[in-house]
Amino acid sequence: MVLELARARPVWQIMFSTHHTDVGLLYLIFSLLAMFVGGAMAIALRLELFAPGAQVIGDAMDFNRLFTAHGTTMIFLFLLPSASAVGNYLVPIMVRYKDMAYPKLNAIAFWLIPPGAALVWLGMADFGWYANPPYSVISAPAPAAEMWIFGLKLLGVSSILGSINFIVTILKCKHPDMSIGKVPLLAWSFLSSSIIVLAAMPTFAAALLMLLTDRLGASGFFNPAVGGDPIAYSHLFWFTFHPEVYVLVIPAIGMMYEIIPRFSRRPIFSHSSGVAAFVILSIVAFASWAHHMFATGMSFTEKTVFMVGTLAAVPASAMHVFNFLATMWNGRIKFATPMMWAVGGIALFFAAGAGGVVNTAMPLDFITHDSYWVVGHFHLFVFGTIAFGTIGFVYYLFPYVTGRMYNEKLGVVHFILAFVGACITFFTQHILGLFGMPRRIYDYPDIPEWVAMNALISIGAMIILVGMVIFLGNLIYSTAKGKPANMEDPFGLGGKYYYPYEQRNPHH
Amino acid sequence: MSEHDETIYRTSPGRLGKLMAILVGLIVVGSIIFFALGDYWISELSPAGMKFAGITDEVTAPAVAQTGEDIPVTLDFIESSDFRTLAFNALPGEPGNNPTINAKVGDRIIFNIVNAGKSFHAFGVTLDDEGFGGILGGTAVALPNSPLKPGEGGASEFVPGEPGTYYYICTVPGHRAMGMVGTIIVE
Amino acid sequence: MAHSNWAEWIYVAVVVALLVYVGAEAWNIERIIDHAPEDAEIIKVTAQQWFWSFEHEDGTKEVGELHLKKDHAYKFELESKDVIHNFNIPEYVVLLDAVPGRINTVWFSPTEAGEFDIQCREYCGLIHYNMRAKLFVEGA
Repeated sequence: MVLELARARPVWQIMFSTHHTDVGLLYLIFSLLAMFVGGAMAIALRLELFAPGAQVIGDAMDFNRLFTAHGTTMIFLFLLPSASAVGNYLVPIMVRYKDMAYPKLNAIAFWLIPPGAALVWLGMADFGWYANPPYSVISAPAPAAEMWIFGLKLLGVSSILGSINFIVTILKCKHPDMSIGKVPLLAWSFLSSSIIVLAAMPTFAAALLMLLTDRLGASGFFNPAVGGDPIAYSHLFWFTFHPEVYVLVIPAIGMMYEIIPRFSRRPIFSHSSGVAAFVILSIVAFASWAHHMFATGMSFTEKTVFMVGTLAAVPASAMHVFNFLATMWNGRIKFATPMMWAVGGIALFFAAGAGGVVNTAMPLDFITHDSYWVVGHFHLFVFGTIAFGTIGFVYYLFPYVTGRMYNEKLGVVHFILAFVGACITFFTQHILGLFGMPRRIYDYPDIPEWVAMNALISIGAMIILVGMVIFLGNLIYSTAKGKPANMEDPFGLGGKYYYPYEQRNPHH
Repeated sequence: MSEHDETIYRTSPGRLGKLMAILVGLIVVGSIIFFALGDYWISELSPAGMKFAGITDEVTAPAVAQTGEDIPVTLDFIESSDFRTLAFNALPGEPGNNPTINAKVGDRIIFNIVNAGKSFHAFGVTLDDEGFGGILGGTAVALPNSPLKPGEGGASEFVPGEPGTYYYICTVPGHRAMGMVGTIIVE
Repeated sequence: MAHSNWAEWIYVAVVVALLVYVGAEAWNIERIIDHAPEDAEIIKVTAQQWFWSFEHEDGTKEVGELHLKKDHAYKFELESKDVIHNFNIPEYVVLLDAVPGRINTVWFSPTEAGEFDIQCREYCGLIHYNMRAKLFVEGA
């Protein structure tokens, strides 16, 4: 167990440590901070959109900068680092090795993130997290745009370095008695997502550089005024970011593979099915990127190819859902907080996937493209599945990291508020999208259905806010003064809490 | 295995407080830097953007010294209620709509500009007879990318060095085409 | 562990069957609607920050509004003067990007008379939220 510590350590020693548990702690603290910052931005957006007319945000430029920062923060500063946090804590333990393969590189990968965040948050560019040209080349103001580009460069490098570390640790540093097939599914999820990052991220790194040189007037890749093609950027961007959404979801599914069998007190229904599903998903993830571009004027053949590629990824995700449900079937389930979050996450994952199938059916995409349907759809994934899985895992990991138990009642309340709030917010957004409301708009006309649904969505967001405030309070109070946890079995499940391998922090 | 409990260090409120202080402190410092510099972060256009909008460092008409009289002009940006028609001072058909300014070479026209509408506007004088580019140096009040909000205003000057027909326009793309243009006839 | 996996295989087969159905149906419908009819009247649509302008075949220009006739096929040729916009008539499911540097085409045939909204469906800057126009379909 990590907490074999005898006494407090100086803060600087933790900050500059290269041990995987310390780096994991840094990632965890940063990602939770970013979650609350990004969440505050979302609340500002929803307060503004509560009714037509200006409410709390004075003008469209501020609104545009806020939604750009919200998206960038949540994806790059919350979801990716929180996955790295979990991976750093557990992957070395799962493969029975003493640390990550490259501890110093690990620390560097973390420390690239705060400067990247500073650049993004100080600049607050306004072009949405996609940064589509030509707007991002000729129209988006400076220096905010350049700061965003440099910030994302740093974050991309961090992601790549972290991925290299995970791949080498899992493939090369695993215990000689452990065959690759026996590696736990959470570690498999990090292996899959890291391989996707290595294959996909360099494309975006190139696109960012090209965007920068275009802005400086030194090149004309995406600027039609000098002979470029803006759709080229869309291809490069989505070639990275469609697989990237799988990079986001796969670790969360891996986290559910830890929680669900333990709290159902049954082994996973089929370990090999889980491995196969991860491998298939990682490959097919690359076949569907241009489903984000159906409305750019692609030919019928191109659209068909990407529709098929998108549909091909669905069975692999469906296999995970089956695995979870089959694991829970006939289990002696203990519905503690982590389990609630995992199960809620599976339900919303299923809903998100179903909505996605609608989007990929080509003619239907022309109803939903760039409307609030898409906003609802992807939030069901990033919040309903990934954040649910992550938050559930934070509760699960809490005794492991802090040695204390969080307040279970507050954890349950948090879950109920988040689940109810998510359903109200994101399902209503689907319907709002069907009624035609575009996304990324600061204000909207007085159409009665839009007004009513926007008000309902904002109320749902406030419900989520209350839950998150409770979460923050629970985290802080329980870390300082929570009841010391029974480190052998904090959740009272009646088995070994964690992996039977002892792990010691070398500083003690 | 319960002796493990004794060897485990669980953090104290003091240490946690230190962590929270560091994190909150970072956010506060960052916010101060962000807000103190205000619009600096979005104040410029990229070089490619400036080229696209035709904004260059040179002045497209030579600056001259004032040899004539001062002509103060007040121009208000106004909009029709459906936002389809835009104009200066009065809507088309009403007296005072887009007033023509007459001047002689060397006169100094002092523009007093106010945004009396609900949308965003910016001002400039150009020789181009269509479009929103070619703004003469010194004549601009606000820019399309950081325009005048409702109620805001500003002033600028124009000293014509050559006779001809100039246009004063709203430089936000599209607004000239929707009616925000007037002529300056210089003899 | 030895346990039978038949339930999982059946489940995957059902999922795949549903997806094949959705894919085939979508492919078929898109194939039918992808091409504009020969006799569609061409309307040039120009998108720019932050308004729409239209030009009919006979040269008539309209800014911010568009007058069309019911039960006529119209083909929109979309172009943009600056950044990517997206021409959208939500009530008729007309939606396509206006990309600077190329001309995209989308067609429809309005079946009902009345007033409909035209909006921009791709973020294009400060007044993207208000880049709206009105479609008037005159019927008889």
